Amino acid sequence: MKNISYQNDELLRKLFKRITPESPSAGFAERVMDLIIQPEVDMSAHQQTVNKLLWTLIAAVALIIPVLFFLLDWSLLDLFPKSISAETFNRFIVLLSNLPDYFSSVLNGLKQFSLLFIILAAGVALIFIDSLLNKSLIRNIFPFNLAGHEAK
Amino acid sequence: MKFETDIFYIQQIIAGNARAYAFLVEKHKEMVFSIALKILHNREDAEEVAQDAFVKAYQSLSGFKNEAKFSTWLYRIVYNSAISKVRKKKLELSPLDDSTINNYSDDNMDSNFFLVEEPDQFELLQKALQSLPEDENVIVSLFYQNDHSIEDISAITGLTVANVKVKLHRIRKKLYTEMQKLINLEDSEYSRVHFKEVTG
Repeated sequence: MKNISYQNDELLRKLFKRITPESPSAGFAERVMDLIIQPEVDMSAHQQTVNKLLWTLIAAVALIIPVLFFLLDWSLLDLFPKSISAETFNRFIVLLSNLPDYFSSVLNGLKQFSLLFIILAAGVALIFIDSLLNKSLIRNIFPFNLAGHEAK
Repeated sequence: MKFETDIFYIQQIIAGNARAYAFLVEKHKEMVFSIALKILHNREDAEEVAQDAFVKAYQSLSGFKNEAKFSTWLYRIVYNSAISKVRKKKLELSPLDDSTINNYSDDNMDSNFFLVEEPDQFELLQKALQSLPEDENVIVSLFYQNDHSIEDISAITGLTVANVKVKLHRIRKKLYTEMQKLINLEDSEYSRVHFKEVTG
């Protein structure tokens, strides 16, 4: 009885070996690799956008600092106390109460350079809009990649 | 194409060479696709599931433990994905009647099946395989066609070793029953045609 079972088993094995393994369609491995590599490319594009934004911010700050340097009335710094005394404390209170006036004078100064700030703001806005378009709009317009697979 | 061991490619991928994964895909694509196809019976669905399984495996590669075989781990992913998809689609086939299987013994095979020509035996087997539920089709193929051990099949399907053994025994019985039914059917068909020829 065991012999018959064994014989059957061997026969089954022999018959199963004749079944040819099924292959996926041509280019299957390439499509899998596209799916794997694509997110990494996207990540690096995202990283580039972040880097661009960071550099833009640094450039903007670098531009603003010299502008403020020339516009601010640095004689105000003389008002800060070198050692605390009743007199300097009183002067500090006077300084605080006059702060709105100082700010309005700074704003008046900035108005002289309004064109510069408009250009700067426009540049930053342009970069921001560009990165937004890269992230969303292009993907919506082209939901398929070149291999013909739906983007996930 | 000659391949290195799976672990060789895995180490390369972990070291940052993502393109080494292409070799693993190339090496295992047939098996992964076959498992998916046996369960789903549809080439497009099987390709989609196979593709997703490879992507999932890649994404979880950092968590892959060397104690397990990569192939077993990958086959388990595709097996589970395909089974889930079948369950969603409710494509389960009606299994053979249990009483028919239980009343059948392997010994019954020797009388008829061994008398059938080998090409016909192969055809009978292929027809009988179609009558099996998807998961059983995979289990029996992994064992007989791909020479996977019971332990490997247990790891792929998530069944216990004992359960795999029992299942294999039952599947064998089912196959024999189905093949026997087909032989009897063909015999009766032959008799009918022969009788018509003789009687005019």
